[in-house]
Amino acid sequence: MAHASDALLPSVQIAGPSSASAGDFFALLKPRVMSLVVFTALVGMMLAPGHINPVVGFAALLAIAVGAGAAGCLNMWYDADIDAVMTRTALRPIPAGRVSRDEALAFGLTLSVGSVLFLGLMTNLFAAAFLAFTIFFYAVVYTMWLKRWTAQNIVIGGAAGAFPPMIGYAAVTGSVDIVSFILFAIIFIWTPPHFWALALVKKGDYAKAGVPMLPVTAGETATRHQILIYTLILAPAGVLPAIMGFGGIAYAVLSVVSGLGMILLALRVHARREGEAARKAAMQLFGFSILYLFLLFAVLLVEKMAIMLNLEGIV
Amino acid sequence: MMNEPKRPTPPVLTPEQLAQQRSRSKALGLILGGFALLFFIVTIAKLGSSVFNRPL
Repeated sequence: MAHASDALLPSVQIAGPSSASAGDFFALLKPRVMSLVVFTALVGMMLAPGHINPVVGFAALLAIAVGAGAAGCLNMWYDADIDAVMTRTALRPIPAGRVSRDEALAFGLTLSVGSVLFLGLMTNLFAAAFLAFTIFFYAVVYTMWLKRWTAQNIVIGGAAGAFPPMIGYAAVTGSVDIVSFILFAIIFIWTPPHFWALALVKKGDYAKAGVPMLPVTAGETATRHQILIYTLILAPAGVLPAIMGFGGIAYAVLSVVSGLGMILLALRVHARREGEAARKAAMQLFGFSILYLFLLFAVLLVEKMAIMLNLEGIV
Repeated sequence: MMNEPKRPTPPVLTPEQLAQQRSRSKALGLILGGFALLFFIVTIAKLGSSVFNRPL
């Protein structure tokens, strides 16, 4: 018979010892995505009119990076069931059993709150609110709502990945304007052809996990059409910084040439529809799209630094 | 005599779990130290706008 005093004991369930290493927690932050976020936020920060103390700028970038990492962590917490099914993600810390879902949730929430407060303290409330909205958009709107519901998941959800340059810009100015909106637009339009190229190759994985990616719901032909349409919009959008005057000659040349490269590869994806040639074309577009976005933002950064260092004639 | 209520016993860690725990502790210590240092530097940078530019 149970002793009367047992009822007074709190029913505490002690979790088993964690087998997660520090590296596992770092992996929850999606470091590769985080590096792209830091890079694009830095470009947004550099293109903003006005001055930011380099130390404060570094702290702001750190806050944005951690905020992005926190969003990634919450994504892994919620999507652990999907990740376990897909070969690309099966070895992530949660499906691999090294980190529990509760640990990931606590880690993600703590970093979310901490990064937003830190950015607010370092820069301004608008940038902090923008970071909070971005985390919410990625973790709740995209991960919990769009991803499992509509084939347009990465079109709308792509906004979350496109916000960081706007946050970097807002960290300096406390607002948004046409420059930061164009940076947003480039990443926003770039996201669908980038992800759908990968989704064409990983279609089976997405189907197995029940994620309604476009190739699964609408078929490969429709996806190839959509990739081409978005790329035809992306290429001129990529030239906008030069037209608007915050991209120089080097940017103008590079954005036109690399934009044509994107169109060429998208046409190839559209034309090659069977077997190894189709897979290769899709992976080429996926790989080149990463280089394309990196080059556009890198040249904007270099040109801005050249202006700051009075080296305009060289670049 | 009253029975002592049963208290949960802490889990016994394997050597591997101990090593992971140490790696987490070290990382957390480094991050907290770095964070404190960053706060200190940012405080100086924000409070004195030209504190780093003064002639030595």
